[in-house]
Amino acid sequence: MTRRPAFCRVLLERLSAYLDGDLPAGQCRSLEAHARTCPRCAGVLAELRQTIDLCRSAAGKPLPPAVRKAAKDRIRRLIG
Amino acid sequence: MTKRRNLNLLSDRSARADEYEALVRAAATGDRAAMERLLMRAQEVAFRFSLLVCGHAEDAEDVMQEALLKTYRYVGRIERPEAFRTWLYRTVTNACRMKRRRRVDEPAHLVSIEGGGVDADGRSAGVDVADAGKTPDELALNAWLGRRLRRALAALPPQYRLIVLLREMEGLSTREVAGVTGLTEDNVKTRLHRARVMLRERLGSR
Repeated sequence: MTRRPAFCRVLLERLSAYLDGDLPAGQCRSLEAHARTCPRCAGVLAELRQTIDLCRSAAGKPLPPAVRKAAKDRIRRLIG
Repeated sequence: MTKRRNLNLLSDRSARADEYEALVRAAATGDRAAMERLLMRAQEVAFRFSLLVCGHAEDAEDVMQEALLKTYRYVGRIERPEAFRTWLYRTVTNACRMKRRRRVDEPAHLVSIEGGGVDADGRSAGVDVADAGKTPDELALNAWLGRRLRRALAALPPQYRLIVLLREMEGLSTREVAGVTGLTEDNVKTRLHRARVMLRERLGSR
């Protein structure tokens, strides 16, 4: 695998900050401009976004019915 | 566009934190419905953590019970409702750690969050429980995504896995994750970025 240019490596370190909205506006614009001309960085950005979306889509799943029922029973026993 | 999307996500997360605070305030003043919702949430958090941090579905009941009792006692004497969420995750994380320490070995696998790792009677069971009402293709896709993510998470070092769970799956802010883990916010961000990169590589390589 070929080594990434230094500029790409710096931007890759900032991708999470970019995706989290923590990057200053000027650096956002610079990153977006670079991603439009660098398919490798654009690919990593897209894959990181998919990874985050995948994790978040797994969040908030309801409890399995039997577990939910047991949880409700515990609450009832505790507070009557 | 991305910026707006990111800001929407952040505002969703703030709303959830505010919701916890409102529930705690109401429960502390005797609102029974609020207390019930809070106690259910505490157990939900404990259940997810039992599966994803401990990796042992059979620990879930004990951890849920502990989260339930501690939340009930804590709400009655709470001084800073805005800090409740951090307190809850710290409490559950510590309960999971204690459970894990009692075991000789680390978990060899993580149980599917979709299936919950329990059978219809709430006992520990296999993974990827089918979800009635979906097409076979949807089920296959869901099972595949679940299995991929589970394996990718299991391959992360535990300290990175915890950050992913708190930040991505439970929706805590960077500051809250720092409060739960005792790390600085900069360290949380650094670990989260590394964890995301590792997950991306795992998910990509299959």
